Amino acid sequence: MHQDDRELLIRFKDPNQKEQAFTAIIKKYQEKLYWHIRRIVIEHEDANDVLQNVFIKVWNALANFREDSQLYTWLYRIATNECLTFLEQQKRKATASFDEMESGLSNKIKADEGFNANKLEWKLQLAIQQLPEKQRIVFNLRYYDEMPYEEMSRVLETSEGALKASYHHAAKKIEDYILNR
Amino acid sequence: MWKKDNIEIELKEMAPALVGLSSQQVYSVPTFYFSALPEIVMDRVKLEVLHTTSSIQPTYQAPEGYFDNLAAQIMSKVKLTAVPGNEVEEELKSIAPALVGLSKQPTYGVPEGYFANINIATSPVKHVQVVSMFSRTRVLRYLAAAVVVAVLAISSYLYLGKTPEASIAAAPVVNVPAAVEKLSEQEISDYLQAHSSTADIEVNAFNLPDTEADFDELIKELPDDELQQFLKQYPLVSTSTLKNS
Repeated sequence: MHQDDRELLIRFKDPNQKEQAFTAIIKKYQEKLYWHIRRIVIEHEDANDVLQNVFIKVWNALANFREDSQLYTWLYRIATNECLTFLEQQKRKATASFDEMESGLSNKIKADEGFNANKLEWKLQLAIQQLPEKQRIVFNLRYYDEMPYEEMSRVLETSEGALKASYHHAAKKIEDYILNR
Repeated sequence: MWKKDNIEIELKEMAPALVGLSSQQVYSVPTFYFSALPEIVMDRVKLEVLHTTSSIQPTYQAPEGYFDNLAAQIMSKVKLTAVPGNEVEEELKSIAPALVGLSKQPTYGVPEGYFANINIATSPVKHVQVVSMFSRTRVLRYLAAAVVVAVLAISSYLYLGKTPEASIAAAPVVNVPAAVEKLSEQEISDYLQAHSSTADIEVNAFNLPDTEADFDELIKELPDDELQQFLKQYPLVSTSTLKNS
């Protein structure tokens, strides 16, 4: 574990420094986690809700955190699971099929105030939304966060080989989407 | 945090079209969002802590002394609704409720030490031959069938074996005219009076002519209309017969 993370955890276990330590943890990881979440749920309000829920869960479980893994790996795992739970809830609310859910995410991208259909970056976002949920997460972690497969394997609890194959398929699909649409 | 991998080489092999794309964020975030977020989260955390650690006050109030008598009330209800385990007692309750609850202790006395000194002579058990129920029932069935067949044969012989002639012949012979002759006029008159349906018959019917000459005289006296009516009623009587008569 990184030295600064270890220090933060020690401070967190001290009742007098608990809140300060946790504020420091939020400040340190909020942006990384936010963008990870935002790329999955698309809308800011949804990302904000999910992120706050993630930190509440972290607050409740941090005392029992085993220090045999990195803090950020643990935080990313919680955030990813929270995103998947959120998407599942959205699906149930919409009582719609998976395809309809996917088109719903694409519509959210198109509804963004900065959306520009002519810009390749936005086309890339639309292409990512065509991927299955878990493949999308793998692609985002690798492409945007440049996370090593080893770390990704700890976050997603999947073998490195499976992650490499998944990323390969995802990149191919996205390239095909960008070139042919 | 992790040491970032250089994904460019890998991407060049997999999907070269994606290499030149900017991996910069396209989504925007409200201004000061990240600077305000820690405080927002901490406020929620404090609320969460309050929820879990504060003593929870009940929203509703129970009437004063409610819990003091609750146990007794529940127990009385339980007794009322309790299903009686004794079927006999339940039956007695419906038949003769006054008998329910009476002591079932024996009222009769037993000589002292009776049950302690009771001596029942036991004889050696005889080994009785076991007869299978199957063969016994089979015999009974055959017997029942034989009885039914016998009853049917006898009754059919008695019923079908006799002809009408035979039954008439078997009937006791009574000489009616001789018996009637023995009767006096008074006896016949009394009989007719006693049996009203017979007495209603016209007396003329019994005043039949004694001889054939008398019969001819009787016909001569009859009006033509009555004779015609008679012929109509009895067409089989030929006219030649009438002429001859």
